[in-house]
Parts: sequence; C-alpha cells; structure tokens
Amino acid sequence: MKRYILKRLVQAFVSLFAVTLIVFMLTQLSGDPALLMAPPDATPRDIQEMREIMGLTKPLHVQYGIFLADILSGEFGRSFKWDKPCIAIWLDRFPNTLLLAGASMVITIIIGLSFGILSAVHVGRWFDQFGKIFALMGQALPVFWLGLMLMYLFSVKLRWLPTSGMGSWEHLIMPAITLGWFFTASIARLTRSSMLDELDRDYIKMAKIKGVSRSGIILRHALKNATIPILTLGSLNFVFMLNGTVITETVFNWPGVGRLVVEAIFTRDFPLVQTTVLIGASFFIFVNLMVDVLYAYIDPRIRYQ
Amino acid sequence: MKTHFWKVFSVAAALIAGLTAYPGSPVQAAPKGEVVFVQATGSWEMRTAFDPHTAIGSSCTTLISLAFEGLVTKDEKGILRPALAESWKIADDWSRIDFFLRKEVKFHNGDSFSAQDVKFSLERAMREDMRFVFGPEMRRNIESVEIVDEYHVRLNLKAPYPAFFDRSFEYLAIVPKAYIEKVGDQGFAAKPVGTGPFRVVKFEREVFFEVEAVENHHRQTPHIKKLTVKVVPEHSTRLAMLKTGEADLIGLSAIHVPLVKRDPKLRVLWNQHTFLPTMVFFAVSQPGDSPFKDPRVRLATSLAIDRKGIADAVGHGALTPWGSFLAPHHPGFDPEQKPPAYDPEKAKKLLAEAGYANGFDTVLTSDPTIKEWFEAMLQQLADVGIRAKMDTPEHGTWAASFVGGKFKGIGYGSGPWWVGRSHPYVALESHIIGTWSHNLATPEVKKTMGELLNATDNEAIAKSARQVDEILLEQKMRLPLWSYHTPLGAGPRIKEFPGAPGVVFPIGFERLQINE
Repeated sequence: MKRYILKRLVQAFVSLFAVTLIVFMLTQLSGDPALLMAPPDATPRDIQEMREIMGLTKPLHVQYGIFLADILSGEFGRSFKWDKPCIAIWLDRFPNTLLLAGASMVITIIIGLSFGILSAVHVGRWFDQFGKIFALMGQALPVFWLGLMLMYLFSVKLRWLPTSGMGSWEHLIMPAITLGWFFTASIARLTRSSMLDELDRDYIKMAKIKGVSRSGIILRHALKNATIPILTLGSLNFVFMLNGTVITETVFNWPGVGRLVVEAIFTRDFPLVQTTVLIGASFFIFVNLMVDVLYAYIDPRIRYQ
Repeated sequence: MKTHFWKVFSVAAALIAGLTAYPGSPVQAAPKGEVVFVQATGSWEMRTAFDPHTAIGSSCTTLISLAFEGLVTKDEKGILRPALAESWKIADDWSRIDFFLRKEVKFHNGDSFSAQDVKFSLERAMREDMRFVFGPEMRRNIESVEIVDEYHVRLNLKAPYPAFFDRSFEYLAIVPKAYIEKVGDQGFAAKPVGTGPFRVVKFEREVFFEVEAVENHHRQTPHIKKLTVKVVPEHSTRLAMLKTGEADLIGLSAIHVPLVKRDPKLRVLWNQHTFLPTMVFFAVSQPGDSPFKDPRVRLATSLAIDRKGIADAVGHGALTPWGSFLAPHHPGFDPEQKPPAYDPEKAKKLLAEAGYANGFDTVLTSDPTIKEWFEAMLQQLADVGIRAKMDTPEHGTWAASFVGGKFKGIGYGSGPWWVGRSHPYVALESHIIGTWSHNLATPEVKKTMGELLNATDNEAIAKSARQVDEILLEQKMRLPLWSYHTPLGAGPRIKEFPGAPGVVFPIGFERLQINE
C-alpha cells in the first residue's frame, strides 16, 4: 500500500510540473500584457520600457525559472495589475467562491439525492418522468441563460431578490441555484441509476422477505450502497465549483476566483493567470490522488495491480 | 493678426476661475441624495488602489476625477478649463509651461495646496518605481519641475508636450506632499486624499468606490451628497440593476439602448464623439501586389459602405456616419466635411477601371467587441465584388497582430480620438504616425503632424490639423467610418448629467443632479 501511495504521489508531482510548463507556455503565447496595459498614445519605446519593467524581455527559460522560484517561495509571483503577491489576491477571493460553492453543493445534495431516490422508487411514474425532465433541463440549459432568466423573474419582475453582488443571504440564492442546477441534475441521474441497481439486488429482496420497512430498505440498505459513486462524483463536482465558477460569478457579479481569472486573462496578468490555473489543477490532482488511494484501500485488487 | 490660442485661453481661464472660485462664487445649495453608478470592469486599472500615479490602463478616469484634480479639467462642452491651475502660459518654442496656481485650496485632510504639491506630484508620477502608465512619456518630455514661487510652477520641457494637458485632466492628479511623506505610498493608497469635489469614504478594489461631496468646494460643490461607483462586468446585469432601481446610472451596452428606450421610466444619455472607428487598408504598407494599392479600389471600398444603413441597423444610436479624422471639439474641425455618399454603382465602375471587374477575394479583420458593424459591411462589399472573409481574433490577439503589422487585406482600426484628447496632435498621433498607424503615414503626413506638434497659436493648430485631415482623406489609407457616442442608462432619479463630450469614462459627477 505504501509503495502504491508513493507511486501515485510521484505521478502527482510530475503532473503538477507538467501543468506549470503548459500554463507558462500558453500564457506566453496569448499576447503582450504591455500592449494591453499601455494607453493607445504609448509609443513603441514606452511599450518596450513597460515590457522591461515587467520582466518580459528576459529569455523565456529565465522567466520560467523565476515562475518556479516564485511558486516555491509561496508567493506565486507578483500580479502585474495588482502589484501584490498572487497568492494573497487568490486568498482574498477564495472564501467568496468557497461560500458560493458550499451553498451550491448543499442544494445539489439535497435536491439531487431526493430527486434521484424518489425517481428510482417511483420508476416509470409521473415523478420519475418529471425528474428526467428536471435533470435534462439542468444539464441542457446554458448557465448564463439560466442565471439571467432567474434574475429577470425574481429581481426585475417580482423584486424579491437583489440582482447581483455579495452581502446578505439573499444575494446567495440565485447564484447558488444557477451554479447548483447543472450539478444537481448529474447527481439526480446518478442517484436514480445507482438506486435502481441496488433495489434490484438479492439482499434487498431478502430484506423485504424479512419484513424490513420500505423506508428502511431505501434509506438504510439501498442508499448506503448506492452512495459510493455519488460521493465520487460529488467530490469532483465540488472541485469544479471551487475552481471558479466563471459564468455564474460574472453574471451575478460575485467577487470570486472565477471572475478574478477572467479579468486576469483579459489583462494578460501572466503571474495571476498562472497562479489560479496552477492552484485549480492542484485541487484536481489532489482529489484524484485521494480517490485513487481510497479505491485502493477499499478494493485490494487495485493496489496489487 | 495671430490669435495665440493658449495665451488667450490662459486669460479666459483666469476669468472663468475667478468667476467660479470659492469664496466669491454664488452660494450653492447643500448636496443632497445618493446615487449609484455602475460601470463595466476596467475602472480599477491601477497597481495600487487607490493611487492614481500607479495607473496602468486608460480607463480609471471616472474614479480619479471624483477624489482628485489635476491642473486642468474639462467642462460639459469637452473644453479644457482650469482646475488647480488658474491659468498657464506656454513658451513660443515649447521650452517651458508656466502654471499659475489657485490659492486657498485645501486637500480633504485640511492640508493647504501649493506649488510644493505640484512639484512633488509630477516628480512622483515620473518615478520609475511607480510604473505610472504615462511615466515613460513624462520622462521623455519633461526636463524638470521648478517652483518659481508658492503658487507658480514651471515645467521645463525637452520637447513640445501638448499631451500634458490631457494627462492632467485624466490621470495626473495632484496629491498632498506632506501627507504622503507622513504616511508613505502604501498609507496614501489605503486612505487617499485629494482636492476633488468628492472625498473617499471607503472602497473595495474592483467592487465599489464610495465618495461623499466636499461642501464649499473651490471649483464646484456637487449637487449630490453621496456617490457609489460599483463595478459589474456583465451588460445584462447592469441593465437589470437599472430596471430594479439598484442603480441610478449605468454604463450601457449599445445593444441595450432599444430596451432602455422602450421603458418610459428610463433614459439614454450620450457622451458624444468618444472615438472614431476607421477602416484600415493594411495591404498598402506591405510588400507585394494588392488591389488596395490602387487608390481607385480604396475609393470604391469607401463608396461600397453604407455607413448610414449600418448605423441605423446595428448602431442603436451610437454611430453617426463620419467623414473627418477630427472631432467637433478639435481645433480645425470642418463641420462640412461629410463622408462620401453610398454609391455601389460607382464603386463597381471604379473597380472595373482598376482591372477588377470580376472582383477579388480578401480578408476583413475586426476586434470582436465591435464585429457587428463589420459583419454588416461584408455583404455590401460583396455586392460590388470585394469578397471578404471575416476574421475576428480575441481582443488581445487582435491588438498584438494590429501593432505587429500582421494583418492582411482590410480591417477595423481603433481610434483616433480616445478618452477625449483635446489637442488634435494628441488625438491623431498614435493612430496616424505612432504605435497604431500600421506604417501607413507618408512623409507628407509626418511633416504636417510635425508642424501641428510645434504650433502654439490657435490659428496654426487649426490650420495644421485641417491640413492633416485633408491629406489623410485624400490618401485614403484609412477611412473614417462613424463617430461613436458612448451610451449611459439613466434611471428616474437622474435629472441631469452633462458629462463631458469625448470622454468615454464619464467625468464631471459634481454636475450630476437628481430629482427631488
């Protein structure tokens, strides 16, 4: 087991190193920050001076070395636009994204699980059909459209909720629903299919013969066993949310990591783009590592392979 | 008789300053009410918030104009007028500019304003470590800043520097020397202090900026008590905020103008003539054959474009067909200079004369932010035989390709005129002979631009500006298409907001009035 974990750790570090290289190269290819920051009146000499000040005239391998050194120092470099350590800027925004992702996750779990279980229990009946439509809509509706429609209905027409921004629990409702619906739909679909699988197994039939109550069979037996794939998907969904929910944060003007990365890309703030992408990639690599280790723990065949 | 523009202006400026200065100006009513203005992103383009001398972009004008002042400002007609300088005098050979400063001005913390603050501010903005966006330009043009007396500052120049006045009204804020020396650059950025018509209450970078009126302000006391500027990047969200009353005034996307017009409670306000979209014939400056190297083909292209039709169809009131490289607020602008009439038949005839009776294929590039206007042009060009394939790279890539001379065929060219440049040389320079010119300036244009730069009297400035305009129109390396007006959406509480023509990012909030 130790050897397996060690091997996976080494693979994770190699992946992270590859990410630093890819992110660095892609940002370099994306354009000239000095040109975008300079006013239209700037002369080529002025723009060149800005490039020199920003360190963009150094050879690429030197710039990459500085980028790696900045990561190791824990500052992740200084933002061109904010003139602060990138990690400090990211940490300022991350709690906002965490709050939004957390609220969306609560919605996702409560509604997704409920719909999935009820659809499986009432398979083929009206609730199941409704659940299928709900799931289809959640995965088919574009997030920006859904967000704007919610805003139109609940803010512009009914005046129940504020359009955007952060401040009170009311500000959280629409962005959390907008972000959560897509993931709710996927959880509902997976819960339904897992529950149907479990409900068809022999141990469930045995439980029925032994006189276990219907709710006991569903909640204590079938749901417990159906939860493993749902937890895996839920964890990955949560990481997706933490990585910046670009569209939701933009539509609802939520000052999170998603908006930060979009602004950084538009201004070609290379250090900040690299930081947000690298941290996002680290989340995925870490969660995948944890899932792999857990699988190996649960299923010995994996570690022996 | 020569009218010395800047000298006459100095006298006029002194008179205006005398009439409006406090005390002595008419007693103004106490500021009342609160207003929320919602802008798109971009207004926080400064490295250290909130320090105007760390500005790195070109769109912080609104926020800076609230809390700070430069030596000059702009009035509601887009004309430069005194702010912290009562008047100024430019040497005939552009070797220096003398600024005569307003007396009895206080910073928001109570410090008195004097020449010491001007010298300190200009030298601070020129410091390399500040990385101020106009720092390189200032270092290139200013030899030294000299205090002649407590209210008289002299700028000794290395070269003619008409752009200084534009920088002064936008970014070159005068900051308090004693306060910054006491609290340091970081302390100042955390608690900024200026002499503007509003004082800073609180702010969160990229989120909001809250200010309150300075009563008995030396220039003009604001009509409103409190103003909050919020940053919301999504156009539709800003519109929703206007409709729900969460915002009183918003930066409006032109595509939403019809929606605002349909709502009887809302209004559209326009900042007139904020920039000039042009068409550029890239191929002319590149090696190899191209149909566009023939002036008849360039004229045919101009005649094939129905400027008014496109403005009516996709401009939503933001576009006026334009036939000059100058704006109405520039000396030398000729209001009779109209764009050529849409004439596809004549265009076809010209193409046939040039040997392209069957037309030809080319590329039409555009910045994605304004691609609708150019997409609308595609069919019109095809109707006369110019079969263009549209290419709209992402803005950053577009900008790099444009400046790098990588585009072929024809395409959109941004500016000239940007954020209300007052002097025609400053308005035209970068796009006609500088960074964004795509090497299309002929020696004749460069020579006339040189004359415009060195001119110091009104007649010479106007004459040279008109001459440059005529040469550019004659050469047709670049075509003026429309004058763009920037829309603002106003809610029912807004009574009047004159703004300032030519300025994309609105200023003059001290002139904003709300309904009782």
